[in-house]
Amino acid sequence: MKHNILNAISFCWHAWWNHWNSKINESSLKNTRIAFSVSVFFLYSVRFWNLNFYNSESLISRSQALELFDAYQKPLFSWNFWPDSMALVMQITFLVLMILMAFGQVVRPMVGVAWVIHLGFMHRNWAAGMGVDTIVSVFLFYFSFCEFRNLKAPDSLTNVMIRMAQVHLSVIYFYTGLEKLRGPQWWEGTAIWTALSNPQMSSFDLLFLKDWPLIVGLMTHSTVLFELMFLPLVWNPRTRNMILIVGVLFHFGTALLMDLWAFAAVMTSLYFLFGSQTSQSEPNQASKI
Amino acid sequence: MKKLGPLIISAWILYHGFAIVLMPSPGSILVQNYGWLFRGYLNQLSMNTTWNLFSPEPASSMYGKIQLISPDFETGEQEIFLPNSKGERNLDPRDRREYYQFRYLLLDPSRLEKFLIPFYCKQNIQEVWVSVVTEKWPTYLEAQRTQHLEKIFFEKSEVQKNCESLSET
Repeated sequence: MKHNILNAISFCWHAWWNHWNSKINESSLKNTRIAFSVSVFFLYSVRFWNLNFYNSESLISRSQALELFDAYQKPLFSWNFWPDSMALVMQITFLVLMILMAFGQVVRPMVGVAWVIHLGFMHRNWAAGMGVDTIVSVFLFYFSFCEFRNLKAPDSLTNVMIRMAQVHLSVIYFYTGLEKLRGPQWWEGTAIWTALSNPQMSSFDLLFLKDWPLIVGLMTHSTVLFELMFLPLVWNPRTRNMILIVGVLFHFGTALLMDLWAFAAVMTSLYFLFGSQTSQSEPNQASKI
Repeated sequence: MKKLGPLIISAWILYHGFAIVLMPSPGSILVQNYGWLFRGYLNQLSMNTTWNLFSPEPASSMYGKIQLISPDFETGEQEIFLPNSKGERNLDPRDRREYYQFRYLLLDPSRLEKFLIPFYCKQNIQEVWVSVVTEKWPTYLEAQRTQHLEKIFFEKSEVQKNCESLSET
């Protein structure tokens, strides 16, 4: 009896650890690293024109920066460890780290430094943060524990962090879909009209959609359906490629119609995380997510 | 020691996994009761967010109308808009953060009082008036029933502050 229980525990432990310690293949890890860092590089290149949000000219003074957070989200301390006069230096340092990451010339602490600088900018002026900044902070955190130089034989920590990044991306999509289900317009099939008719959000004048309920309804419902179905379909090897292709089309559409190019680039760069993986105990079985 | 590494990492996986799955739902009874276990940790990582992108409803166009009163102005009064483009389309990526910043401030009058008004009061201004203007098109069902679409405007006076009273406090 005792032997059986120990066997069962051992089986569960190995199944658990093998799941988290599955090795991502070399090309997937490389593509993730390049696509993500290049996307982030271009996103934050624009910040050169926005440094006045993060220095002494900012509407938010440095001493007040943490007061800007809602109590629910307020961090214990600010990662903005540099004086305002150093904002330009930190901006350049961050971009250099992204270039090095794209070329695979970074060790863990260097990506960790990039993550701290990124959070430092976010904490300096929370109001000027965009959704894509939060996405970048989430995944830079995971990547700061990944060894990007030895892609052929990533260690356990790298494998676990890539797995957690996959989980987190799925959770994000699932929650964005769930949150939409709280809105009557998403149920009615008209929410896309509200979004696209708002000039602050849309790239073009799309008011002609008033006469195209089929398009408006399909776009609204398929948005919710895609976000909710991403999680179950991406974890199934048979449907993974299909949902990733749908995801690329979805983000291309939002980029084109809503000028969300940076967001689309960062999100789709993370799709490379779902390349084939091999369980450490079964090296010949690929696609074992 | 070889076994300890996977055990420590597994403990973190469980903790972090629960945190990222539970905390985006702040209304949950689990978060109400046990959220304190994860909140500080996620807040420090800037991961404590609700992922409500374009939900529950996509937002309407919004901008701030700021009236600054000062003896230095020829007319005694100056009107500015935040962002400058008001509710119009602006595809310049350099202006994106400005839009997000002002939107975040305009959504809560206490943020206007705490951050925006003191910023202007430092610039030799006597009095600051802030109104929030919301522009929206009719909902889709309303739009289908009308021939000519017309924008709906709401202007709400949010905060009015005398800078002298601010410096006294």
